[in-house]
Amino acid sequence: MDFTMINIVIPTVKILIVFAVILLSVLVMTYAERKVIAFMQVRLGPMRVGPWGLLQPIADALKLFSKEDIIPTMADKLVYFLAPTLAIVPAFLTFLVVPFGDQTTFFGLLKHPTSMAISDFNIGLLYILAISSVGIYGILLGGWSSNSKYPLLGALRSAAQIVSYEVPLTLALVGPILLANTLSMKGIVEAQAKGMWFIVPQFFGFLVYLACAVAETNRAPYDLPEAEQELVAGFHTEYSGMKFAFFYLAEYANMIVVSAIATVVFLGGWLPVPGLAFLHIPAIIWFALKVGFFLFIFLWLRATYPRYRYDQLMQIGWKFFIPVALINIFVTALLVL
Amino acid sequence: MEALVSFFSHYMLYILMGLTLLTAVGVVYSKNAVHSVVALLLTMILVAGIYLMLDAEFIAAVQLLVYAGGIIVLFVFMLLLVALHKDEAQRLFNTYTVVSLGLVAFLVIVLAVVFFGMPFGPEPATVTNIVKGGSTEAVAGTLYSTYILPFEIASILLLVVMVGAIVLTKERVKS
Repeated sequence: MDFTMINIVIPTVKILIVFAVILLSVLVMTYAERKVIAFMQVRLGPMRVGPWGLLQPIADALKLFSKEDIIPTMADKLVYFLAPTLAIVPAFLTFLVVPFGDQTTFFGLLKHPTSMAISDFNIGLLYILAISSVGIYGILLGGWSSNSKYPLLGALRSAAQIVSYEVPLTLALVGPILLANTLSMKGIVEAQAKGMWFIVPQFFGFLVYLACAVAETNRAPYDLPEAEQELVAGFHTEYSGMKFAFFYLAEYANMIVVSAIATVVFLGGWLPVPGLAFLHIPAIIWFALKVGFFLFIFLWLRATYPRYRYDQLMQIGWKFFIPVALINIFVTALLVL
Repeated sequence: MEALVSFFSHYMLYILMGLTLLTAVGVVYSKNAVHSVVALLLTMILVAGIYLMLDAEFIAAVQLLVYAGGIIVLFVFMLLLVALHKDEAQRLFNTYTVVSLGLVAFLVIVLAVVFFGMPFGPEPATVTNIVKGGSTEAVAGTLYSTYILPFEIASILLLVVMVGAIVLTKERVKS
């Protein structure tokens, strides 16, 4: 294969595929969220648009495209325009290192198999953490620039929450990194192929990660930044049309990212469930099933648990999750030594 | 195509440096403090880009994680609680022109001495090196073997500062 093919054509195609897949998953996710929660509450959910309401997400997207773009008079225009972009760009950038499968030839189109991640480098996991930590500015600046009290309060809450929960989230991922002896996403999965899935030796790390991931994405029961009863819609109250859609997309893309990290780090990525390898299910299907499982947990939690109080939220974060994650690191480090 | 890519990756470093200077000037000259912080955020991200072009991908990631993702969040957090519009009418620049010129000249001389005294290695090969494995292990090896004592001293210093900050704020709450 020549230089242009390896360095330009294949990466571009991969980026376009990943981009399309994320956008489609977000569409499916909005439909699934309404349906799953409706069934859990013994309702039907959307039924009018298309059979069983299947075309509802498309109708929603079209509605958002055609809505009037309202800018508050007292808003800081520059920051107001910048905020949705700052929210969505990091959310999509993190997919750069997510390995969706081992290797592929695109159904025989290529002579040499290529990796199913857009890229893979030695600091993959650190890269995801670094990029996603920038995503918070979309929320903070969006809330401030609207020049309105509910968005400001939502942004403040969100900033405090995300900064607090980033610490235990990162600490919870240190255990698996110690076991795998690498930061590369692909390397972590390959380490699990040799031994067992890291959910077994890192069970407490997994639980801490799961709870912190829900808090990082501002989902129920940690959805204080957008608590409807208190703050209308939190930081994006004043946004409308496509700018609102950007925030919405960023939230769902972030959910998919944290689910993908959980899949790669704790559930063996694209590896088949132990004992089911004889079924010859393609790696990417396993990956999608595992990510889908985590996304379902997000919905399940939202339908099950009430929202935390703000002081409770901070208390669990600092006084429970961080100590548990630290103890987990010490024990893992001792065993690895 | 290959020539174009190598040309671009060679000049990328200079493009990043230029943009960093531009955003840094934006930090100083913005009237609105939040605009300053946004410019500072962009500066930090661009500095991470410079590290990346110099083959230091671990430092780049840490730069993003600590400065862009941590410290500037706290800046913004404080700014959101301040009534900014009161400051905008005031003159925000000091008048000590002579003193500042002297200080800037001194800084330039110090930086020049450091720069010309630096034993530079070979030119970085960027993306190729990072994909091949990168410098993360080398950083860890150096930090935890040759420089373990300064590293531990720095960590104890940070611990003392942290405890001190907590003690100071607690006292104020009581009184």
